Amino acid sequence: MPLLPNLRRLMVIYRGNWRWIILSQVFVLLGALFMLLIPVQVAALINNGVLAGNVENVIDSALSMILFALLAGAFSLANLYVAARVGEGTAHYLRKHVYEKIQTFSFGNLDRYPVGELLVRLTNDIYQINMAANYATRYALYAPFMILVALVFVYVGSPDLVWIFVLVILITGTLFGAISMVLQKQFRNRQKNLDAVNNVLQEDFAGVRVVKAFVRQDYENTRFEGANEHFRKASLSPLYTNAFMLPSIFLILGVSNALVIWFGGLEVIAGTIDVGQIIAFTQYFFFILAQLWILSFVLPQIIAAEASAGRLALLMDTPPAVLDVPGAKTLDPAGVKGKVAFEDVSFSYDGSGGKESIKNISFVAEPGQTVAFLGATGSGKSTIVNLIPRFYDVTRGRITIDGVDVQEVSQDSLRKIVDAALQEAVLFSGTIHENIAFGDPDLPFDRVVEAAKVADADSFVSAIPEDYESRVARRGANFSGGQRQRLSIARAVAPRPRILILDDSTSAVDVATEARIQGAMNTMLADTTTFIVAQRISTVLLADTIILLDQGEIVDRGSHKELMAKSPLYREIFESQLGGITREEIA
Amino acid sequence: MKSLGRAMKYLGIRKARLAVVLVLFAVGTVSFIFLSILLGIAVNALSGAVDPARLYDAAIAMVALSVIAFVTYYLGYRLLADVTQAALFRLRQDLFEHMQTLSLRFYDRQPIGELMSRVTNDIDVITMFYQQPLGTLLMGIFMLITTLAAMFLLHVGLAIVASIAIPMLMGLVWLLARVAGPAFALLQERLADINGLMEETIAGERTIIAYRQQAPMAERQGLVSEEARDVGTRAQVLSLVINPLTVLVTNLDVGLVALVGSVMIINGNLSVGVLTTFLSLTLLFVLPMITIFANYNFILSAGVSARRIFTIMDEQPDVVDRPGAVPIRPVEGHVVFSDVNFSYVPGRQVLKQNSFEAMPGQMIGLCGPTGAGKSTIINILTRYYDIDSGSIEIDGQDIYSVTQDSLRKEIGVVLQEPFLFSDTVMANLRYGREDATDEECTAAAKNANCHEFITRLPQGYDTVLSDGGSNLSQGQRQLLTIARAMIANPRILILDEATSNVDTRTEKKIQEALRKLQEGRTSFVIAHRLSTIRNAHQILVINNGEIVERGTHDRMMAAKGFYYDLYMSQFKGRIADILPE
Repeated sequence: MPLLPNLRRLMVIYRGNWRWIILSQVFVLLGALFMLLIPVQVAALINNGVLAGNVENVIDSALSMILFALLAGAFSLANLYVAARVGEGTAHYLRKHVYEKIQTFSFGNLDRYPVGELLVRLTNDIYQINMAANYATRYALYAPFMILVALVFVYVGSPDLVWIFVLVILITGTLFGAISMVLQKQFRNRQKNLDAVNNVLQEDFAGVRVVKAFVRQDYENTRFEGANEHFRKASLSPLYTNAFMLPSIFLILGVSNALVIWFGGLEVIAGTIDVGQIIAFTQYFFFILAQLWILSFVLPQIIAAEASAGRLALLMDTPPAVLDVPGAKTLDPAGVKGKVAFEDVSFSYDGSGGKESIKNISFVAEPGQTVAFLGATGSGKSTIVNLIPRFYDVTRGRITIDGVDVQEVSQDSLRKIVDAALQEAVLFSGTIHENIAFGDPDLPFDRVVEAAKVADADSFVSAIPEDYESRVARRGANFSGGQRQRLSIARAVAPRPRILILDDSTSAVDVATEARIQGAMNTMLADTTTFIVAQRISTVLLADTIILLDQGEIVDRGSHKELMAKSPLYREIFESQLGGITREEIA
Repeated sequence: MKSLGRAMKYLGIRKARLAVVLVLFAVGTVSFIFLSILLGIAVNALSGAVDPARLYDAAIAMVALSVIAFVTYYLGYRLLADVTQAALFRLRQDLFEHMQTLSLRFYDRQPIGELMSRVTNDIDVITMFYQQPLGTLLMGIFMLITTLAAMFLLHVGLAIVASIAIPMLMGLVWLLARVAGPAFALLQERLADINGLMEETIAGERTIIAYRQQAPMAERQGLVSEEARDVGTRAQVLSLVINPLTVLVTNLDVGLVALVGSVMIINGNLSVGVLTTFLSLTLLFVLPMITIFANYNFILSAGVSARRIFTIMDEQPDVVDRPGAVPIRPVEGHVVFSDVNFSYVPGRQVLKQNSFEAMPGQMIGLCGPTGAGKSTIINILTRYYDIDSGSIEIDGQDIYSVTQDSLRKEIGVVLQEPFLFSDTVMANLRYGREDATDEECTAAAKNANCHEFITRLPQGYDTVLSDGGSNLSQGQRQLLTIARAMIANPRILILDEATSNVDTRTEKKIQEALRKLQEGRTSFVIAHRLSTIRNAHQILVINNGEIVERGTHDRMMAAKGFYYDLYMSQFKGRIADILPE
């Protein structure tokens, strides 16, 4: 298996920028070289200057040291700038491309990727790669190079002492490698326990009313204490490991210096090396240990980034669940009449062979008709309407608009004809105006107001001082559920679509308001074929056709009158929700 | 920084251990510095005639010192971990327990996600500070002091020369803090922008697909991301620049010491060994400064997070027991509202002059348009919020003269959205009353039509409900919350009717369970479907916060007022066509 396959895949990002990256590595090497020349000058200063009593040599060496320090600093600054740019540039590139990828997703893809997970990909995983790119630019070459050159210097100065360095590097490398592996495991365990703490928090905040209602604060405190204590214990083990790591550097440093003094000292006595070299040696130890120390941070970061890159690759390789066929047709909105036909349609969220959520659905909606779906939660109402604008593609059978199979039409042109007010009324930050004109930003203002009037939203919008230019907070948080639903309906009707879907979009609106909206819609969108999904029977009473669903199958269909006459289930629902009033009472 | 100090006080809960940590670090540092001095002495000895035996002694002494440094630091870090984790445990627990006392107004103010991220992320930042920088800081400070002391003991003149690095580094940090601080603030802002944009649009992705806005959204995200990149590069460079600059200062300092020291040696004022020692001491004394400054950002962000945590800790609950509040005496369920006024936000009145009376055992229906204030009744009867004026009495006892806990034990609530905990079925049932026996819980489950489906679960009553009961149907969850309320056995009930439609069979079970629950208790039913409250003893029709009509269903239908209109609007003005023949 190739090394770091997922990170290597990311290398395409740098195509065209290699010159900069190579230049930065040249900076790195030059910076490292000058850093290493400093101890050489220290040795020269002592040997040729101090011990020889030559003031000129002393000044020469000291000035060289200062010059080399400045050069090393300048080169590492230049490299740093490139490193920051590479890291942030990588992050930007990934953010943009992953986000663009998500924009190609369809409902089926989104069902499989929870929002939280996608956001973690876009933030946390990309951050890991950003840091790895940054570190790699700074240290991938620097640290090994420093170690190598230090070794060469030592070898040139005194080949007999090199073994001490090699030994120290091997021991330290093995030690840090082993420790970081242990640490990774311990951190994973810590994360698991942290998740448990967060779960208690999340649940407790979400259920604050229940906790208070049953006066169970003490119980919750104990519950939290349990998770909190587990987390404390899990946090300790990586810290204990860390407690070992840093001091072990002191140990290695002390012991290796002792070795140099002992063996080096013997050589000095023997006259094979001089004191200056011993001093330079001890300084090289600092360098090498510092580099190993740095690598102990860099390597785990690169391993973490590889895992992140793997998760991103998985996301990038996900094919969109709904695709346009090659040479897909474009429907002309003006020419569409709006006849919708389902021909023996079945659908499974798990693809063909999976459990079917709707089975053999057939019906025809004539242009301008209203078709309503009624049934329990999970009976397949929303599933059916989501197939019309191809939020999902059918598993079997076909759906046609004016006789054209929707699968042969491009998604874009199809959704210009079909508008939907979805179950969850999501608004976006911006103005009310922007939200209503979401599908067509160029919509004239009077059409925006018209749509708001139809959705019975004009009254509360006009009551706000800034009117249609009022700010909508993120996810519409500054509006109530009912208001959000009305704005979402306004957004759906604003483009005057040929086909309209209202997926349980008046559940948080009271019956009187709902009646007004339906009345206004009948006038404005008389020619629009409308599909209504509803929980309340009063929502569907006036539909041309009411389709009664049970576990994905049509159990009965007809107008309200017809169903009252022939369907016991329909009569039962009617009685439970609207029954008890007689003709005599209203006469 | 004051908040950070307050967070540091939590370390004091393990005072003795903290003292041991300090002693250990001091011993470790001294032995390490002594090690460097010993190195110098050894090298010094090498310049003259050397006795191999003394060389051996020096080497052994160095090994011994490094072992001492290793052991003391290791133990010090371990103990420090104990201290910090105990402190963090207490901090988390205190924060959680304090939040338990806060009123709903606090929870209304921010979405759960925000609250969560504040609590978890901010505590995390403090954790990071405790774990990494605190130890290094302690060690760094010790090292700085010991090294300086050693330097001055060895040679005052050269020590002064070496100390030049201190003002240089301080000036550097001061300069960078002034530039990097704002850059980081800007980066945080841009990151908040980009993350907010992505969170909002991905959560609303289905709507974006439905309205074909994928391309414009991607373009917008690209622009914001680009800004984040540019600001990020700047902030990164500024924050990292401290590293090469401190290295530069170190090297310059080493160069300077070497230069001045060499001149001193030549003049006969210094020995080679002392200079060598000084050179390594110079490295040692700049090292802790680098770590201290490298952690500067940590310190800053820990300060910010500590401030946020203590803002929550200092938050006072706005619903508190009045002085002298007593536990409520046993009640029958006679509830009287007199001229109750209430507003969530001052100036925007939600309930106006509400007065009504519920006799023990009666069912009171509440209905009216969305947002008219009918759900508010739950919130003020249970004292989730305090009313502005008027009075609420239960069996003649003002609910403000009794303790909140005792009041809430008399009132059961079945919410619109059934909320269950990720625990066993039995634990969820017992949530109603802690001392309920297994038999009582099973009996209530039977009574609320739950027993049958519970026994069909893999582990029966011991089945753990994953993710708040996502392995149950909506109707089953509703039934469990009804059983839970039965176990609590309150005298007064508030039922917020579920809006979502379950199948007719489950619906019947729920209605039946609710009927049993209501038997012999005073109940308030908030109706979204008018059919639920047809049989109420009294229906209150609320519009714009006022009770506009009251009476029984039959009487108000006959009166043809507001209730009648509301009722008839269900038929969309076509009642004649809709009613069966």
